[in-house]
Amino acid sequence: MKIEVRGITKRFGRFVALDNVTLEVASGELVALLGPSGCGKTTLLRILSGLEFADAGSILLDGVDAAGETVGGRRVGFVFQHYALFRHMTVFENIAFGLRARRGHRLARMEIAGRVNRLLGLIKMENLADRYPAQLSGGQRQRVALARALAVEPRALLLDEPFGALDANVRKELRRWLRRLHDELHVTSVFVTHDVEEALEVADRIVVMRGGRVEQVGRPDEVYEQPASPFVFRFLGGAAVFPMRGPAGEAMEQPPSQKAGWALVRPHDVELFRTGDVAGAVEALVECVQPIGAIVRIVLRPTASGEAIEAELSRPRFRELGPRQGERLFARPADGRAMTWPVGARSGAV
Amino acid sequence: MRFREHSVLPGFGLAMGVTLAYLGLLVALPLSATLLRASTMSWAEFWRTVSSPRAVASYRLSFGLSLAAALINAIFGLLVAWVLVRYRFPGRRLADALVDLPFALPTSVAGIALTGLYSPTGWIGRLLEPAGVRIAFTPLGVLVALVFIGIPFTVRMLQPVLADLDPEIEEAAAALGAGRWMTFWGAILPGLWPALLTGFALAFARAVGEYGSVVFISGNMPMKTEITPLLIVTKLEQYDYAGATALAVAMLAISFVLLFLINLLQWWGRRRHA
Amino acid sequence: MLEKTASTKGTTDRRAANRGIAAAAVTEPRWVQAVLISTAMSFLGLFLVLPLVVVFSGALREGVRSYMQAITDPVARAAIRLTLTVAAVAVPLNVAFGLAAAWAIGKFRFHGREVLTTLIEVPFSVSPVVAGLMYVLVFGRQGWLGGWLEAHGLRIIFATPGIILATIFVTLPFVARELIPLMREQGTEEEEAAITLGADGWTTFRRVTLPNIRWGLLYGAVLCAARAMGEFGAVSVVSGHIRGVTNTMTLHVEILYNEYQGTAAFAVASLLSLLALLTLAAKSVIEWRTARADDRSAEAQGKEEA
Repeated sequence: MKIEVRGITKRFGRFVALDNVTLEVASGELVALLGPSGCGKTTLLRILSGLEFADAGSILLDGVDAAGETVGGRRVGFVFQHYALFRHMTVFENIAFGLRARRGHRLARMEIAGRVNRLLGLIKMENLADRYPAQLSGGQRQRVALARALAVEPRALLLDEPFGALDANVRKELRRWLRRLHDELHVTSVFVTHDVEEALEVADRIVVMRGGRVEQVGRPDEVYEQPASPFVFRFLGGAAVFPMRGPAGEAMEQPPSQKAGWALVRPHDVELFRTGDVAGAVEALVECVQPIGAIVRIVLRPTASGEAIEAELSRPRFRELGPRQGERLFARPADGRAMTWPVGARSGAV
Repeated sequence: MRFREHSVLPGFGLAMGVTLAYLGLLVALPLSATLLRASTMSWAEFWRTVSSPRAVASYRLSFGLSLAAALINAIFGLLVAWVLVRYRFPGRRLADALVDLPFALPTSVAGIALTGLYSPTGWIGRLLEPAGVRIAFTPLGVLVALVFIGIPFTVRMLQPVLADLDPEIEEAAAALGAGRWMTFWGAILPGLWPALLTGFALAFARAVGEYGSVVFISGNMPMKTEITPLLIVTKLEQYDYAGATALAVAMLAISFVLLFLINLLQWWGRRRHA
Repeated sequence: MLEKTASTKGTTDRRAANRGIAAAAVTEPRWVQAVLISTAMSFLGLFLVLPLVVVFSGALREGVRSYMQAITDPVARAAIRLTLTVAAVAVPLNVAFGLAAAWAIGKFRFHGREVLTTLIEVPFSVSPVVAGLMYVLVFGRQGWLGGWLEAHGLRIIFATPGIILATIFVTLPFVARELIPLMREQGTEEEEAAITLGADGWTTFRRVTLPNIRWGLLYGAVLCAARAMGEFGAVSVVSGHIRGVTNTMTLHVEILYNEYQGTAAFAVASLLSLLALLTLAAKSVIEWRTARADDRSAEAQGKEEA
């Protein structure tokens, strides 16, 4: 199902949760709504599902205005952040609920059992059908919630922080599973997350939101490589900030219109040198060295005031350079990897 | 601002309608009938009734004894709650279940049972008679009945609070060299005050309005052992509706002040807890 | 207040058990414990157990035969029948009201929610005698609707309807105050999930909400029934004490006692006492069950965290 969001605005009292949001999700797509907490992503999802209503704007489902449609009538599956499993029903009964509850087209008992068993197979929980939610692990509950939403063959699947309540390992495993499941079923899906890695790994497209507005929409590599704003740059993968001096100060590649401003660069695109004879390098003191598994993070403080610079070195480069705390180094963005913004632009602090 | 926040759940109108209609018919209607009835009396008439010597004597008895009973309940309620939460001993569960008896036992049954126990020929009354102590048919008997009906209140208010107390607070106090008594007085009791006061207020409110368990044991002598609710019944039996209504309005006013106070106390307790 | 805290008591016991080790480090000496326990138990024994013993021994003091005679006496049987009738009307009505009030207050956010919750508790703070009087002032011969009722040949006060009304008033808050915090605590997510799955309002309530609150509902209903059958003050004011007609069991006890038929009074009282003990047992079972359900989910949660 194709989803169109047109100029949606939503206020809670004086707080503007969504501010004129417009968006399109193509049929069969898997889209992530990504942003910090309070950016309006969950509210948008709830409005899509019909659990919440917008103050202005409209939602079109397959080209039809959904305003008159009730939650049940929209036939969208919703997976709640805390799963909202019916605690007094078994796994089987939970999944069958939607098939039994829908008025008008009730299915025969055998048919229901058949469908539920297929879904149980899909989530690999055939032998746990008689358990109650309280007897399941978080990952299992999550899969049941998904199966329950899929049972009614929804036109679209909406997931609110689907992996938010799980621990790191289960989380990684489940999101790969979700991706595979989507490739198998091709149900139009929208999921909310504040985890950048999750969005980059799972989604076909990412909608980055901030303060009730859409900052950027694009494929994962697009939003990562060509962020539309300092905020997006920083929110996805962090950034080191380099001050840019005027032309006299031998600044780095700089659009002619801009006299001064800043350049943002990914920590792994920061190059460090021992000598200062490299064009555009900034002198800085090493504040700390933190080895983190495969990489080593170096925090530097520019000698000519400014924000601390974070650089990430690969292990081989780290061994080669051998920086120590308190040492003087020179830092610069790798060639062509920095994005510049004029002084007036919002610094994009996350 | 809208009256209520949006929700997809249906049935608000129906549920709210039923709730308001039920409350209106069963609570608001009789309450307003009573107030209206009272308002047909002149102020002087009203005042004469509620300040008659017999009425004042009944207030003194009702309030004085309710206060005393609530105080006894607060002290013993704390002890019972402490013992039930902190210690393990045979019969603990039975005792715990039994605490609610005054609540489940019809008041008239409690009344005749206590009278049977404390009358001069009863099991306890017989023992006290030679010492010249009389309980039944004296204010002391009323006190016994009021203590009985108030038992659950403080115990049940305190139990969850006691169980929720952070053991680290006591350990910290002990580590700082405080003895058990000092720990209790300085580290535990301050956390119990809201619950203790709420329990006290609830027991007091219940005692002030109590009728069934008292009328049997009190002897009902005007000016001596006549509580206010009984005076209302007496006036009703003499078809003195105006007099009964005046006293009832006075009692209602007190009830509402107490209800307000109890809500305030609970709000205080929740805020302290959060 | 009382009932609300009582329902959380099950979890209280469990928490107390959990703190066993921690409490062992800082506790009172053995002899102090013994003194405190025996003082507390003597207090409960004196005030709770002894009156119960008096009732049963008083009832059986003249043998089983006169006991049976007292409780099978036609007037006593009429009183039992009336008491059961009153409860059979009052309890379902208050259950329906409690469900409606809890649905509105527990599942929706609106202005005046707290005020409404307090309003529901009003009957608990009104003296039963005053409650009875209020109904006399509405429906009695001298009351607001008295003239109209009399003209239409309807009797409420000094008749069964009045007794039922007074009982409903006195027991009105029991179910509602049990369900409101429960429904509020459970939130609306499960209901929302049911609605997204295409269930209508009634199906959602019946299949999702109701099973989740069934123990709380039963708990409230048990307390409501106990009080409905045991109410004395309010009923006494509106009943008129007509033997065999408007006498409930509690009123029958009073009459027998005042007529110096002590044994018969205690016999009927013993039936009511049995009912009270049954109530306490039911209460304990429900608390135990809900505590166990809490334990189960806490355990599963713990497993997941581990």
